[in-house]
Amino acid sequence: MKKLFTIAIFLIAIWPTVFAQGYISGDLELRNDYYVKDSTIGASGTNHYDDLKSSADSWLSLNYTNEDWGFRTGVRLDMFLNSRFHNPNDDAYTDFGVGRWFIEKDFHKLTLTGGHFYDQFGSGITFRAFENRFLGIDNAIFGVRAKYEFNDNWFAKAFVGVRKNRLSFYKPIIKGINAEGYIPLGDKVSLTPGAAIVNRTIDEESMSIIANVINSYELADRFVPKYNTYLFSLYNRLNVGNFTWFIEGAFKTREAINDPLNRSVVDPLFVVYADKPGNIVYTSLTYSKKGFGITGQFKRTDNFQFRTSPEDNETLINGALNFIPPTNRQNSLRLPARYQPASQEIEETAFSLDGTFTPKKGITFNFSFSEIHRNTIDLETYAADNLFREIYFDNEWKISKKVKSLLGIQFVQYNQEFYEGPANLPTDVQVFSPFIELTYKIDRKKSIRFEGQYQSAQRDFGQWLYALVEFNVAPKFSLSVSDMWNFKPGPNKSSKNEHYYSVYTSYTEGPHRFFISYVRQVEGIVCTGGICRLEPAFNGVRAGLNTSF
Amino acid sequence: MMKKIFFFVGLALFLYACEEEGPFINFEEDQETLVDTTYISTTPIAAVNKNVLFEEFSGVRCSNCPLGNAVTNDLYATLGDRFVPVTVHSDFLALPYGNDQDLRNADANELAASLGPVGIKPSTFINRKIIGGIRLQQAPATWEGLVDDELALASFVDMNLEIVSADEAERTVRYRITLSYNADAPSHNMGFYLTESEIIAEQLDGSVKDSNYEHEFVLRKSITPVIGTSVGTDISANTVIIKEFEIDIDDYDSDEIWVMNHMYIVAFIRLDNDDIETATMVEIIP
Repeated sequence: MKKLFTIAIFLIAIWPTVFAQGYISGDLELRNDYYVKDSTIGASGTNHYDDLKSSADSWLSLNYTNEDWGFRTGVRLDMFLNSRFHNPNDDAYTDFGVGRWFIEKDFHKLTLTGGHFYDQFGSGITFRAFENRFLGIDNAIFGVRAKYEFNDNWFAKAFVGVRKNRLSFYKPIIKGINAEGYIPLGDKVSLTPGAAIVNRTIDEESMSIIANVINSYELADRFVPKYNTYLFSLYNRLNVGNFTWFIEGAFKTREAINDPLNRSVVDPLFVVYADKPGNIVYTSLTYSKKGFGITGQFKRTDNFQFRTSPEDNETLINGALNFIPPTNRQNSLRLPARYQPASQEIEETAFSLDGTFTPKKGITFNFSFSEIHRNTIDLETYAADNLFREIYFDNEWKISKKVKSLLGIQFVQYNQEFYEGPANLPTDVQVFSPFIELTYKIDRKKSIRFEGQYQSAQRDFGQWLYALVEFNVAPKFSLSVSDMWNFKPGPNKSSKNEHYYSVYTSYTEGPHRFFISYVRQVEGIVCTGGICRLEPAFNGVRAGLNTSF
Repeated sequence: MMKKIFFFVGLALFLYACEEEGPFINFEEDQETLVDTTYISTTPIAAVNKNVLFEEFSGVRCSNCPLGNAVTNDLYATLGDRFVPVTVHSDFLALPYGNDQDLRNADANELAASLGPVGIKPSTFINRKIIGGIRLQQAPATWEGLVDDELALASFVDMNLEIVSADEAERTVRYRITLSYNADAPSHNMGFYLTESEIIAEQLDGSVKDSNYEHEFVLRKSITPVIGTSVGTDISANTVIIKEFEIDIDDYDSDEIWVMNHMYIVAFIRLDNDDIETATMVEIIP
């Protein structure tokens, strides 16, 4: 008791001194969903629609920074109440606790971090710990990290830890080291080279399960799986005048990988482990000058799966330890964003060409062409073997001070069976999507925006029309009404011509933003940066609050 | 710059230098599966209690092992089918005397190494469970109580092992296992042993060597890996799985020393945490 009293007196005594020299910041994000059963669109059959009727997710962060001391610390309270946030198809998940805490201190050129941290090596191909709440991803590493700055141009960092799994941890241990530098070679030429090594050691329990599965294979297919896998990468960014060339190549030692592409060969319900090494090369070349920019990208992935474990529950967005960048365009408009390919770990050969051209102020043309194939490309069946192809063109035109427009067209060829799984899906969905967006500025604060889109995807949902009208009073108020109408469903869909409408409004007061919406949403793939998940149909009310301080 | 290069090359070599032994993977031919049927029972499957797989570690040069063997034999006599004894002669204190046949084998050592170490005999695994913080139970006086505790627990599956046919001339056995699930089951394996009784081999008993000692339920061969092979991960209540296998004993006993009339087949269900859920045993030639 005496000890506690002494500690309390000490903390009270130093409290004003400590906090007088630093500052506290934080933020709160709160989401609340209310579920209204609608079996006509598939928004039914889970305990959210049948019984629970609502869910809530929230994240509250509190950080303290003291620049004089080179000291930072923070804690985040995560709360998931009847949540379907991490896996929308799963039953409700309830848990709450400390989702992140960290302490960080600078010691001259050395920075030490303990707790949960986010980081990445190079483009993320060998290691990336990141958070994307939109997709339900929180890949923080829990461990220790040291970063040392040799001078202004060179640094090295290393870490060891385990990967976060919601409010607990995956058991395999991750270690990594990365060095990166900057080498100026004259006024217009510079290099930014880097190298990384990452190691993952599987835990005994996971390995026991993997070994059991391998022992059940035919003799010829059995192999001794590795506890340790190592990844090595070299990368460099070269800047020469208006040109920028980035390249990263990585190699991964052999281990048991989970190859979902081969599942149908053996048993669609059975994990297929294969003992393979992996490699990947990713490169992009950009030329940019005022009014004109063009970027070409190429990527080839060969068995570069890197997860906490190859077990079946660590697929899709679960257990990922790296990030393979996408080469295709990342669309944001509602209908053109419906067919997005997820970056592949097992095999993928992809390339793209994106350009932007502004012939005069107020008029901009954007174009994009991208293709994705398997690694074996047969020129005779080139078109048929295509997994994904997108041709995109748009024009942004500021017609007057009050009116601006976006007019464009997109063509997509999409192998739905490959990207979405079940064997009876079409392999060549042809998608055609023209779109228009008009914004009219009523006065300095008020504006009205209209989106109109059409989509034809005959082998999937058929034909769509989408319209949105949004009224904004900057910076406080926004109200929108939209409808996505499946006016002529495809022959493979049993649905009737459904309307998926929504009404959305938000109010912003300083750093605080409140929103509420009624949403009737069709099922579909949701992607961000090449990472995708299947979002089931939703019908109900969504409300939320975002604030920072 | 050179220092940095050397640093990374050195680190890479350090990380790569440690060659692993890896987990146990069985590269031997498994038993041949002749029938593999799964169906859902139309009537609910009744609840059952666990049987006990009793893997007793013994050795011919272990002076106290006859005491352990006596407890095991008494338990078998008392408990009958609910008690499945296997006497495991791993290397420790098990080097045969003279020209006696060697009761040791690679599977015995694999079991001792993977769940041991087994540095004390007599000792036993009781359904391979960690009880009181230890898996290897070393005091024969406590075995009966621990076995009784285990027998009182419910099992999600009932095992019925039958001999379909046994050909003494060809030394082949065809057998059928029926698994009846009364509850949803976690991921699990199924394993099979061959054991033999009435083996005469010299045994140290106290300070005396007994040259006519009769060894019972000796593990001859693990037909599957000692951890078994996967049955499945999502098996629901009221599922019934029937499998039939055939083995040629000469595949494992090329010298034809083993006596079929004295042999048993043991079957067991193993969970991913190494616990045995239940077990059963049948004589090849009753």
